[in-house]
Amino acid sequence: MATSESRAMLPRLVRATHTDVQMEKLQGIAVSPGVAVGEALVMDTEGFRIPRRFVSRDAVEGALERLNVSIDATSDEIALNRDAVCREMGGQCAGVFEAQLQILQSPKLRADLEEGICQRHYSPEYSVSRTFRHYAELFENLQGANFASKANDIHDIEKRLLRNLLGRRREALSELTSPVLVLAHNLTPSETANLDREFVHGFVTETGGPGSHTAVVAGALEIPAVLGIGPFLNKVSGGDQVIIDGDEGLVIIHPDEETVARYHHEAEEIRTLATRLETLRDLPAETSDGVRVQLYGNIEFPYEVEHCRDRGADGIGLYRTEFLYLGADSEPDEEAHFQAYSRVVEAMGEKPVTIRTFDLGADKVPHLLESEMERNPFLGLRSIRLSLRNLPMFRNQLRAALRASAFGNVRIMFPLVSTLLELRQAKMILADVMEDLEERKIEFDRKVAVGMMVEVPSAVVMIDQFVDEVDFLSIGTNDLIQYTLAVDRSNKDVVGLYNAADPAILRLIDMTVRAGVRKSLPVNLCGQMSGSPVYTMLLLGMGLRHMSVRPSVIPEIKKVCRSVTIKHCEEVARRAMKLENARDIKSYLKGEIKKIAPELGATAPDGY
Amino acid sequence: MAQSQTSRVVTVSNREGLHARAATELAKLVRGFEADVVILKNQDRVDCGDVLQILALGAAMNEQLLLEASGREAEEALEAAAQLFARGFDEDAQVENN
Repeated sequence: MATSESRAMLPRLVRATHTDVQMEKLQGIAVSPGVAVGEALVMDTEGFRIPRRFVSRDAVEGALERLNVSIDATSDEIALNRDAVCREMGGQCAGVFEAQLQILQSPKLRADLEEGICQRHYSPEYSVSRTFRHYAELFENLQGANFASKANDIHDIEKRLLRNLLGRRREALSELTSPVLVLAHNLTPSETANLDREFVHGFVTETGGPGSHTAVVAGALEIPAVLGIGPFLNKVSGGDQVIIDGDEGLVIIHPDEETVARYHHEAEEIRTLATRLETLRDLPAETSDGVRVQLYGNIEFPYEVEHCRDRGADGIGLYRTEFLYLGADSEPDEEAHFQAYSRVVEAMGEKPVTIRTFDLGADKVPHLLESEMERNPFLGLRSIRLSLRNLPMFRNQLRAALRASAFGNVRIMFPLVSTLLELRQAKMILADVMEDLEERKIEFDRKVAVGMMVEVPSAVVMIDQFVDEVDFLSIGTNDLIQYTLAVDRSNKDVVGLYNAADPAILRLIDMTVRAGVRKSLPVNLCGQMSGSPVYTMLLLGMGLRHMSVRPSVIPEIKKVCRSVTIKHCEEVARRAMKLENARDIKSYLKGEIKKIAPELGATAPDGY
Repeated sequence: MAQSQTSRVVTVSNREGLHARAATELAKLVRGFEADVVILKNQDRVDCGDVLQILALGAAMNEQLLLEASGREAEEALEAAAQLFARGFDEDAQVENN
């Protein structure tokens, strides 16, 4: 029996209702900032919402009953299918269902399922989930393709069984009624895009990384998100309280009271800051010594143009067009492109909208014929290379962009340009498409600005050649950093090497900006680096006057711009470029931003 | 009265090994007899009347398995099972019928 003294020393978690619950902090990759505290909604690999993991002791009987009822119902279903198929297609095909039925009736299976409920007090759904997962893994590990396909049968049976167990309680993500934090194995970009922001206040997945499109979509939603935690779903149940720290890339399960209080406080501070920054909406991004900076927004989806307008963006510096391809069964046609582009172009009025052409690898576009698995997708057939090899697709996109240019201020940008030849080829295709439109008397802006992303080191090295052939440059630091430092940002083992403050990167940016200045060419920076207030002074000091950031941070960057003089920024840049390594540079810059605007610059996404 | 226990070594002769359809047939067959039949492969010992357990063995072509049976109809069960194996679970016949 604990004395009052020792009770005071007991950690708080002992007061929790479950005995096996310890607060755990899990590290993943931060892809969208902010913090959220709330109730977990757990999705398993099949996209099923798994309700509570455990049942209380007196609920075990009822749980067993439910299990047996579901097994019977599922068996009936399978038998019905078998008979129907047998009638229509003959005995051979019915064999599949017969096998499934036999599996479901397997005494061992039932024993395992019941053990989960009786011994471990699993809910029937959870017991099904764990048991079937075990068998699926078993089959997947057996040699021979035939056994691997057995795993599919196992999944199939599991889905049926769960459907019967959950019945009408199977709530999809689209039928939420109260705020939740979604914890899932994986979320596809489309699933992510369809999350109802009114109720989903943050999400975490076991898979994924910063380069993934799910990450980009997460950023667009402006809710905290962490990816790539690795397996952890078996540690949480639906309804558990969890914390998502999208700034540090942390997920905290079973948090103690102190931690919860701390995060509530932080969430409140973020809200207050956001409200204060809103007042900047109609003010220009101008330094205190009168130098105007163009602050654009990076967008993925047409609806985000509203966020940009709400924040007073000077235009769209990067319109990623990939969403049209992701999650689509067939290639989007010219009309689909045109609808998406013109919507944004019209919404921005006179302000520029920079449309980036296709920037994915073939693996993201299943209907393309290049289906061989690339060993090195980063260095493979993607982006402009893929476009140049798939002219019909490329022309579709260009035609749509040109048609949209009749409705506003469009700029066209080619990604991943690595050689002059590539750029010239792309421009030739564009000229060709222009001629075609002219012949057909379709309106477009003949003087549409054409530029390129500077993200391959070779482009920087040869920047003198490139400045003669484009109307603008846009430095894509995300990929530039990866290629230059030879780091895969989604690889947990080396992600520490990925650093925007690396002196090599600063030199490359400097080279590019200078080349642009020499030719009076606008140079933009559209990687995540420009969205981090820590780097704003450095970039301004290097001569950058155009930055494209995700809409949620426009107010912050604007605040920094309005709080500094170019002279001071140039001094900061000079000093930073003299420092030896990334850590020193970052420290120095952090110190500088703290002096100017201490409430900003405290956080930055991973690697920045 | 002592229960008779007999055993037989069988070889998996069909190309795809002891896969779903074969396992289903074997399990069904064995359950029709008054006998307990187990299959032994290396360290594993599974109930021959349980499809899932048979499948979990992952027995491939040319593998040898030991069948053990006990109970009133142990011998009949073994005989029938052995024949099923010998016939390659009628795989080729099926293919021809298509």
